[in-house]
Amino acid sequence: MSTVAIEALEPVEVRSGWPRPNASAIAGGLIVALFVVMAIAPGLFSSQSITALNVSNHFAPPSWHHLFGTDEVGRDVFSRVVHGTRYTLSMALAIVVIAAVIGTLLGLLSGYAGGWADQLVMRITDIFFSLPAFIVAMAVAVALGRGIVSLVAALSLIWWPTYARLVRGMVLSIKERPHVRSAQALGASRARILRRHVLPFVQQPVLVRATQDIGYAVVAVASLSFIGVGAQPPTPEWGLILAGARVSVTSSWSYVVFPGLVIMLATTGFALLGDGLGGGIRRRPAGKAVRR
Amino acid sequence: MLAYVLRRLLWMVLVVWVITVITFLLSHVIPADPAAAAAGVGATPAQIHALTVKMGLQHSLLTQYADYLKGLVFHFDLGTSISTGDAVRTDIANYLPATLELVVISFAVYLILAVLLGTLAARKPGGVTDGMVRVLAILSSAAPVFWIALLLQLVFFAKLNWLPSGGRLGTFDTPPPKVTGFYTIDALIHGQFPTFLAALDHMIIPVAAIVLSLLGIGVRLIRASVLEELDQAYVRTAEAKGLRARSILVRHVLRNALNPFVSMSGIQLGYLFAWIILVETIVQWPGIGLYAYQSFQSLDYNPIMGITLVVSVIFVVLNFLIDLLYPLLDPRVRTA
Repeated sequence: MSTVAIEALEPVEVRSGWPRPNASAIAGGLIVALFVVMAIAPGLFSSQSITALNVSNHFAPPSWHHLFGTDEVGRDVFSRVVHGTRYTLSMALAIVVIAAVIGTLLGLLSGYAGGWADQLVMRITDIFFSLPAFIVAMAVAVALGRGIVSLVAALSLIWWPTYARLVRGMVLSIKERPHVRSAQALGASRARILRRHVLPFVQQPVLVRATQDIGYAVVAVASLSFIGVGAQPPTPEWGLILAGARVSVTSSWSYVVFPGLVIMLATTGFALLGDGLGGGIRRRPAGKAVRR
Repeated sequence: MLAYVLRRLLWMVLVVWVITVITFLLSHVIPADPAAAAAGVGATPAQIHALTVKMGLQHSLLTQYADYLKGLVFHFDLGTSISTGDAVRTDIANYLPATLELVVISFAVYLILAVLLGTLAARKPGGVTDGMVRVLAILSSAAPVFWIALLLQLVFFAKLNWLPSGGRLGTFDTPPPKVTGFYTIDALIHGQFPTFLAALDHMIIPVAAIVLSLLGIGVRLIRASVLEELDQAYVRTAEAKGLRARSILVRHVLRNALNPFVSMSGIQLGYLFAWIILVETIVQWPGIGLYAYQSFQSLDYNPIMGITLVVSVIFVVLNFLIDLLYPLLDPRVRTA
């Protein structure tokens, strides 16, 4: 158990092991699970067509038959939101997975190898952090030809540096630990050390961060689609649905309110789950107890 | 200090250079046929050929980049917009004041509210204000800004009809003669009080949307750093000296607690120039954001790259200024 004492002296705290189930993780997990089911099997929630037009029934108020009302051409908004989960969520997931994988690999390389590779990767991330990411992503998405794939490419391009920095910071401290030192002394290859002795410690923080980021990616995807840079009509992507609601603001309140609430619920779900997986309470530094 | 300033300045120049490389690549290399892309949807082959020659696409990439950079540096040449037919430089100069007015006013309101609410929440943790602030913070970080703007429009324009739906002025208002480009200030300079009120009226929804979506982060940061500072020994010293609580809070605690907020809000201000597109689109605010939105719709390349460049430069310069401001506010940074 001597490693415990050594760990306590280390500058950057890198813990492994998942926290106990907590309220935040459970609530977030349930919300996320709901959206995952919605993405995989939208038919469970809504049997209505998302493309069938019924112009005479446009801007119908919410009813038992149309929970969120209908849009400008009489399509059921609830069904469109349910079916749209698949698009928005898978884009958000793809962005975060691509960014996390690239960022983690470069962070491992940068932190473990040091030297010029480290310098190079870190200066590149510095430059990314000096740019207004949102507008660069828009320009890239437009240049690649507006669409789902361009959007995912553009957003993952600006997203990986946060993971590279996060991982590099952890690797710097992990690589000084006794078990890594021992593996080095035993002559283990660099790849083996990274995979078996460093990566396991990096995994959890990266997963926690990625879970929270999916929520932010949902907002980013919806925002870019909203201004016409991402998914194109008639995809029932959440941002596109709200773009339709924008021009109908005087005609239907439910069309504006409900899709936005769904986006908020999704974002909050991923944020809660991420917080819960990260241990929840750790955000508040100990010893900073409330005074007076 | 001088070495620090020079280092930051060099970094700023490097980043701006990288931005020109990015916009160059995006406009000259990535599109399969840049001339077709620049000519816009529905251009004839002859027009595309003319643009190929005009853009110098028959030359090597390096020559093209050199020309691009030369045009940028010496003439601030951003090309021509297909939709408006004007030089992008001129368009941006026309649209920028509207965006600046919105940004400046929103940000001023945000700074005041964040400091006020954050401090109030920190004074009585767990109290009513603190609870309200916490709910607000959660909502404002989970709700997309464009949805907040839509909701405000729904309630205050569509339902209550208290506020106009968008634009800078009503259909029958004439803009004040241009001095600063800020309608509110120009109207006051010329003593046109009704125009001033109309301009304010039109700003309420976009300003509220921007402030609400910034507020979550700011309030939480101020609350946390005020709480942290209240725990410091110098506060106990000040209390022991018999200073009034209010004076300790304002003159001692806030002075220190604001440091992290300054650097944070500097970054927020830079990002605001990018996502303001969402707000301007909704309230049809004729700034560079709406210009960008219209350019996305028509795939008008030059304005998109021009706006990317201008917004990025604003962002970089703001970061530089914040870096300079920081050592002035916090003596501890000066030696670092």
